[in-house]
Amino acid sequence: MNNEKLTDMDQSEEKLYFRSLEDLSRGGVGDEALKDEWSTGELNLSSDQGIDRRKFLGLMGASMAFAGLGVSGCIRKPVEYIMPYTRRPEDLIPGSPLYYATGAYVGGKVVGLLVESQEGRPTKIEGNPKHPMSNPDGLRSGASDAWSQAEVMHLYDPNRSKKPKRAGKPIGWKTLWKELGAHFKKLRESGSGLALVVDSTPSPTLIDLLKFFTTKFRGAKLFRHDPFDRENERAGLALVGAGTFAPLYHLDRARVTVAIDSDLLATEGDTLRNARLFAKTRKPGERTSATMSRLYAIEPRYSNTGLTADNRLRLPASHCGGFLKALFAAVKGNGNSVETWANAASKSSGHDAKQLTFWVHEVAGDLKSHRGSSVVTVGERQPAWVHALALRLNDHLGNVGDDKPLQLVERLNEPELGTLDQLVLDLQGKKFGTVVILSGNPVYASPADTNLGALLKGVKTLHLSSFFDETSSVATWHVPKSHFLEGWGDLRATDGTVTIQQPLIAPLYGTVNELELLSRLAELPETASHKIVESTWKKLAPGADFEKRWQTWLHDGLVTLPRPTSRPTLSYDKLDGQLAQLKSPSGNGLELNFIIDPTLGDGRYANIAWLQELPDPITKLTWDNALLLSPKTAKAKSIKSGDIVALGFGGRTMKLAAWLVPGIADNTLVLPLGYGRTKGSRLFHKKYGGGFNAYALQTTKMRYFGWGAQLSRADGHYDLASTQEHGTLVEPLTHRFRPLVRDFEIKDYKAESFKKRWGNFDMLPGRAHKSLWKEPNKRGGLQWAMTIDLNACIGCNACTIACQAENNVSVVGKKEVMNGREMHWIRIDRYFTAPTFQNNRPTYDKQRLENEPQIVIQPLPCQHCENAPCENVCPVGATLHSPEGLNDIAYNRCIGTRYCKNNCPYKVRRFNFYNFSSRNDADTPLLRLQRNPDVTVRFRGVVEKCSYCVQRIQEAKINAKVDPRRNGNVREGDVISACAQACPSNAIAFGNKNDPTSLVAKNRLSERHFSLLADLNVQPRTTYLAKLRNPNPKLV
Amino acid sequence: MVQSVEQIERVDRRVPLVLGGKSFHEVTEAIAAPIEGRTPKLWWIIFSAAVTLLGILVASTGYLFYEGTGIWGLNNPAGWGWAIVNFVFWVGIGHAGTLISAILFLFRQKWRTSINRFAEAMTLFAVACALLFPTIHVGRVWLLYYVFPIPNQMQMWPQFRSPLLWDVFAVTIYGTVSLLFWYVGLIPDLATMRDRAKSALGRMLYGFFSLGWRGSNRHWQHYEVAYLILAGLATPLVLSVHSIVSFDFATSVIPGWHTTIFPPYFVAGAIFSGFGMVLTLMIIARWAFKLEHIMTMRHLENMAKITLLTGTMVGYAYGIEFFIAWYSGNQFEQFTFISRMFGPYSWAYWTMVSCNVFIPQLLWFRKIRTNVKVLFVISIFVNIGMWFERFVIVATSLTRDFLPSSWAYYSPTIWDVAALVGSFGLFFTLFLLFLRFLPMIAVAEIKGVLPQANPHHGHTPHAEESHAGATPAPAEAKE
Repeated sequence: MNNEKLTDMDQSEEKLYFRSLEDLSRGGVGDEALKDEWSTGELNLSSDQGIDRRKFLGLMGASMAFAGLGVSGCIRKPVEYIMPYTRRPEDLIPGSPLYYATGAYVGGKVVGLLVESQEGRPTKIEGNPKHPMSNPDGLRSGASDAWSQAEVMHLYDPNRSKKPKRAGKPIGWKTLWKELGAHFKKLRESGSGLALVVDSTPSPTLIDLLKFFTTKFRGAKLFRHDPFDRENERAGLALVGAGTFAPLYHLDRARVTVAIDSDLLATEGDTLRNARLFAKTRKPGERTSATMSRLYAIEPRYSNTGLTADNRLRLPASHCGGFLKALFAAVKGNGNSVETWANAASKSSGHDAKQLTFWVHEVAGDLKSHRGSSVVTVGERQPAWVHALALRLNDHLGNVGDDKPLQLVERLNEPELGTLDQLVLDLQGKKFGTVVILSGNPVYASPADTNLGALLKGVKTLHLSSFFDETSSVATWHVPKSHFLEGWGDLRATDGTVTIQQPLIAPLYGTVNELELLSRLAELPETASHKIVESTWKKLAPGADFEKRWQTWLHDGLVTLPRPTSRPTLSYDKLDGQLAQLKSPSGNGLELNFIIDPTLGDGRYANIAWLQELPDPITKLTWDNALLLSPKTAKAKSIKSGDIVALGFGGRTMKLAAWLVPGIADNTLVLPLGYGRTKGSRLFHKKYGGGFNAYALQTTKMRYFGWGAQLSRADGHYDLASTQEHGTLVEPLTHRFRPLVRDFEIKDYKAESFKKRWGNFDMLPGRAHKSLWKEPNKRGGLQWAMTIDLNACIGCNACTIACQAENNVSVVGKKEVMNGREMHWIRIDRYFTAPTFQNNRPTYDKQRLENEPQIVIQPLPCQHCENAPCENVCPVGATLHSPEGLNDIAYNRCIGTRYCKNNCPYKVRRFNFYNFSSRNDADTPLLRLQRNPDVTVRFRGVVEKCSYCVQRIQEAKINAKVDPRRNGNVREGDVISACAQACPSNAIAFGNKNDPTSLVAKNRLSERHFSLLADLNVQPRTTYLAKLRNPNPKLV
Repeated sequence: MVQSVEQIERVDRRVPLVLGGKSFHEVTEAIAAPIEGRTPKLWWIIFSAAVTLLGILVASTGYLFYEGTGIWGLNNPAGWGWAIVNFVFWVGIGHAGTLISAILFLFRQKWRTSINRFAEAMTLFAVACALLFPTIHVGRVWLLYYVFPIPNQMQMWPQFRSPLLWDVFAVTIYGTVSLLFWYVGLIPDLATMRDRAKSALGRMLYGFFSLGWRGSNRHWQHYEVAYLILAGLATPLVLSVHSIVSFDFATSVIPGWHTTIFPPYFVAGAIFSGFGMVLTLMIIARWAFKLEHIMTMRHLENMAKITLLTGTMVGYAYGIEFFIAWYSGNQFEQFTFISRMFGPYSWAYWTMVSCNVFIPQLLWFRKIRTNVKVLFVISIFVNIGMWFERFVIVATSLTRDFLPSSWAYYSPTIWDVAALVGSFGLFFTLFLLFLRFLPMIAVAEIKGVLPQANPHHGHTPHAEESHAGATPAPAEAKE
């Protein structure tokens, strides 16, 4: 039979039915569609097999055509034809991308974004230069971080949920809405038994909607669950009467910053803004009058903030509060309590009590001499009283105010939101029959003792989520959630800046976002997120010119409305009461710390392969987490890196891999959250590693840290994939100190003898290299160069992911990382060091290296050597020098001898050992849509590497040629490489070195300017500015 | 120590190069026997083993082409691994043949005649194995023709500054000249085989390849001249090929590679490894085919002496590398050598030094030089040691160069092993076919060094006697 034959041809398990030839050509319709003969496009579009090219292009054509009308999230007509560009939408030139401003709540903060769209496909996310949180100092580009860069991969994730499910079984959208309609109608009538869980997304519309929701569903309770949430900070501020405020740091105004267990530069709070403003204070200026801010870090683990710090004290987290208390006492001149604390802390921290006392006094002294220009910050991991005390100390020092380093800004007026603990209590008390979870994955990301999964199974649960994850699998209904690039929303950043979140693409799978789901549940007349958001702002900014203003807001990504100006009145009575009752932490066993992972966050980014393969800034581990501990602690238990250990905490035990990291506080264990996911992505398969679920040891009482961890070596070894096994520049690893990273104290930098000290970093000091022949490469016209300021770099990894997104860099998987074949075009070298100088010669301090190491970070893209060793060894001339100083690769010409790769002294060249790009296509089919059309996708067997974003250079040159006023002149700022664009601390500068006004040219004249391995006379174009440290001279 | 005149062996009283007092005919018979006789069982056993290994090579190469270079153990710092090690190893082995045939020919070292054919064949097969590796190790093997200067519509041309391109020319030229040299030497013998062939196919093939050789005086004259010219051409190649192969490393910037001593050091190493391999094969062949009277102990001893000499030169090179690393003051260079001795690959380094420097020192002793079994074991050690030398050079320098951040450990996979083992399969398959179908000893040449071929001296019995083939070893030798 003809029918059967065709059915056989169909690959899917579902039977093929078709009603007409058109159906047949589309691959038939599903069972449900046959049952529901009125079903229209939605079903056809959201097939479970994902979206194929035809459907996608059709969809795109349609969405572009409707773009002028305003993309409406829920009205989508069935699309059956590819929309040709013969009648192309206005403003759209095929081949030239469009940029849309939007925003997102990423990693616990609001970021303003500018998203590149190639013919309707969002391809690259960048920071919005107009957004004050991304670009507080008005530079060329808006900062972004690895997480926001990687969000585009989330959009195209093949494991995204496509169909609503009831108890794990797919159901149609119509059925879902019918069921939910009936269920929630009952709830509305009975008027109780409903809990709503949201994350900390600061969205005015969402909050309005929640408020409306609680009026509609009387007795409905709202809860918040978000591991990125700053619950302790809020509670701390509430303790001193500033509960409705949030701290906004102006680090550019601070000469002294004390970060207490606070990673304010990379993972906590408004990191992009903080990093930008902090970097401003790290430009030393002229050598002889160089000045720089000073950063103290007191922390148990090594964070990006810690590695940037000038003075760092490693201290178990439970002593950090005590440190602050002692610091406050020292500032107020109460020396006795400092000693009391130091004596208590010395027992379990492994530090000498005298040394601790000295530290506290020194920091206090520094703060006292910088009244009004210093700031103390506390990380979310610390309890509320520490936050309150920090504010009190800042207040005492006169650091709080609108023109001071710490500004308190009114938060969004939220309705009362319960905590997770309260939710658990209520669930245990069977107060709800229904729980609606609008965001997050609480079943995974909650302390083990909440037993949330079992509790949620006992009630009707509705989970809105992009993935069918751990929470979805216990939920009654699972509703697929839209990505932020697919729906409307609004976000208010800490400083009050509001961004309208505008979509760039219609939902790929007909999904809904929180606003749409809430409005449907509340049976609002309007269920399109566009209208919902617009109506909020119509209310907030009424007027005849609303439409015009709205368009401006969308265009700029900023809402220009007056910001809140009220300021709190602080009172410390409550805090004093609490402080009086504090008991000093009792330290027996080891302290276990849970930290937000710098690459996977709380686990919400675990499905993004780019981030899985992104090396941790400190450990350089990919695809796994591990229990981190200091070499001394490990030695006591005879544990080596990679050993499997048994860790007991709070009555639970777990076997996991250990990894040694110098610089972690002794007697302290650090376990990053976010790994060990089990449901929702293909990446959670064992072959990818996946790591260990830290939440399984977390308890409600000990969310972030606690004593009493029991550690012992278990049998076995776990393969951890680290991209950088070798961590130091000195003996015993290397024969002699390797002068690769130039790292000085600012006082030495200013000193007369500096030139000599500097010269000692050259292997052939004082000798100018001479060439035997005429320089082969042209040196005139545009000559591209890059400088990386090691002083500004915080090692946050944003550049690596930005480059990966821009240049179609493949993901290789854990196994290949273990084989040492990762493909990153810009890697970040991390070395533990302890530099000292003897007779101005760099050497190192072995004792310090083991116990109190410092870290230097060196981002390493292709150095684009003028005298490139890779070029002359290629037998087929596949890698050649461009007249503009680029070291180009003609991928088509490359036959893959890998000789260039061998001869590269920097080892920045990467080889496609397998057909990684097609493996990626097979793994992530939709990611093909993300590919940058201006960059070749590399085939198996060719070498690739950083191209200085040559596609951007060419684009700028074309634009300059097309523009008659420009006369072909490419100016400073026209070209910016993806890494430089993303860099939050503005450490990377890229431009034309022949243009004396360019930042690169200026940096190249700096006295801190150096080339890596200059003695090889390869004359790299990527050069570095030396790192300077400004430590407290007495604490070195 | 100066030898007294009495101690020096008198030219006219030398021990003959071929023992046993065989006549011309007997020599021909002895050499033709392995070809014309029934195929020995042992040959079949070894041949099937070799073909099995060849099968492994074909299969692993097929998988390599299908899947990509990733099946090998290469990683980011180590862009080269066993494939290049094997390449240099085989090229090195390929040196002995031409050295024996060409250089010793020019120096009139007549003892070479009984081993030159054999050694040349080994050279050719070793070069074939060597050429295999750069071919298959590239990422996109189907575009390998890019390295040849073929005029094309793409307006692309190879890059003549690359040592890899020099390799392409050096090795192909060497292979071509070696083949010609070997073939020209074969022509008179092929004609002998043609004349003796009983099967039609044999007559046809030997007849075709003997190019109508009739042994006329004129033929011999042309032959001698051609042979001499080819020997002259081949001689510089012996030195140039491995020098150029060493440029792959020496012209790079990588510490441990960037060394001026590499060309002579590589040539000495190549001769060393080549002699090692010739010894191995010779000892087996003379035993298996009962050719002890042609490949005599004297040959073995001479080979052993050269092995000792070149091995010591290699040892000197190892030493001088260390000295220069220290003397240069270049800390990266210094580190590389310290790392070789005590780093993660120290096991490979010490294997290399033991096999190449320490063990060959035994050859100072005549007793050892003349003990076939011990000599065989030593030759195996030399083969192993020279493979490790290349491994040490490639692996230690690449995996730990300038920036510790990119250091890694390179270890091979089963496919790396398969390629090496398989290349031995290719080598032995070809070699066994050669033993079975071509005269493994230059029949025409060996007759030239028989005592009866030297009719000048009054004392010497005349040619007619030798034609009769009954004459035992010359009388003077016994004096």
